Amino acid sequence: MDRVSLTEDEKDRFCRSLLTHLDALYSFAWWLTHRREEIEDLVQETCLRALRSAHQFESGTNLKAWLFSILKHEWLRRHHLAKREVLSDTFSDSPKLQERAWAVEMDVIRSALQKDLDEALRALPEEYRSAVLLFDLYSFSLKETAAILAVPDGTVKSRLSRGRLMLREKLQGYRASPGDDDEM
Amino acid sequence: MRCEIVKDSVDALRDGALGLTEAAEVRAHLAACSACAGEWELTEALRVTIRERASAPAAPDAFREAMVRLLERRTAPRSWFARLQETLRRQPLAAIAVMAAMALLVLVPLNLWMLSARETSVPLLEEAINEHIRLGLREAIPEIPVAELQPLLARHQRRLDFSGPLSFPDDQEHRLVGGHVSYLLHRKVLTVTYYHRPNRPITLLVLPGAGIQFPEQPMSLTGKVFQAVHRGFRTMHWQQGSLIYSLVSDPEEADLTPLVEKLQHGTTLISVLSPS
Repeated sequence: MDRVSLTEDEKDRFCRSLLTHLDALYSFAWWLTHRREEIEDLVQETCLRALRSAHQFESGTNLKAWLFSILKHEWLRRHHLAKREVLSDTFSDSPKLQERAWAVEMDVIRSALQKDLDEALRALPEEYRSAVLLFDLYSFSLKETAAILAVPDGTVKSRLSRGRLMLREKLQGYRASPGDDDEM
Repeated sequence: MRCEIVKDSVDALRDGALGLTEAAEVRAHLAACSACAGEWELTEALRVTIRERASAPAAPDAFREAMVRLLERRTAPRSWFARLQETLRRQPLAAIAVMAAMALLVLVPLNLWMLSARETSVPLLEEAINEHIRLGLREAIPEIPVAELQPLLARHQRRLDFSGPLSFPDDQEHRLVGGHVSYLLHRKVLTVTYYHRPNRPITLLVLPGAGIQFPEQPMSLTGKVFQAVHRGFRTMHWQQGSLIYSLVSDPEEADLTPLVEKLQHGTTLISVLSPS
């Protein structure tokens, strides 16, 4: 955009739009850090950065996706992960998972408790967890998810596929050993 | 279409990102391949479970209120100066015009003040001597003859009222020749010329003293009169009421004291009705 800054009215409208996404930003930050102080700090910094850069936002595009990308970038910056490119890709398709009966697995997925699901999601490597959350929980498109994560579309597809398989395996693990919940 | 290709395309199919042909091919494969269809259904179930049960905590009310206040502060109407800054940033030509106007606002009064200060900074002593020289250079009879001095002065300079004689008929040493009204030191000044025998001019300046630093250097006090020999001229000055009297004589002129005494004796010689 060639504009230098917004007018007072435009800023006011931008802030009102921004506040409609506050809950989504808060919950995504919650998934990234889980520490309340850092969550609030991340969201606040995201909002202020967005306001400062409001003139760069292209109207007609997805404000929510833009805000998420700012938040994710800020989180990476704080944790010095911005240049991290090598994924903690230790997962490989489990033969056991392939062998499990489809009906049992479907039951595991459908009956998963929130606590188990949250725990399984948190156990995912951050790169996979973010891809799954952005696409499946926050309903961003592939392109928007790729933009937020600053990776190519193909990388998002790969992370989604691997992340979901890891999630399914973890949920299956909780079903197989329910007593583990008490120990965690 | 192979299963690997379908596996890579299902999310794009969900996303509506596939072209019509490709989407139809993926759907056809899913309808025909039970393994891929099973994976599709499991993934769909997982997506639903995540959407419905994964935690998505909302921002606490206190935090939301704090953010609203913070953003309101950031977008609150700004001061006139901040608005001016924004306007100038948006319109560089306006900025240049405003800066030029501000420069004029500062420089013009400053220049006038400097001119004024320079004029008023000319000391009384210097101006008295300058006037004496100017009169001498003209070598003309003063424009107001003695006989007409008082009424003419009253007409031309209503604020000065001569109530006493300036001439001393008995004094052959100091003969009143005439006078005129000058404008020196930002005020009207009565200038009177005497001739000391035979024709040595003596200039008397009578002027309102308000705003003039009196006495000035290098005047020195003798009795009640300040005197100075400056630029080769003899000068004597004194203050009487609100008026300052300055006498200037040529270098060869002798003591001015007798004339000073004569002028001082008539304390009501000259009075001012109101300052010029």
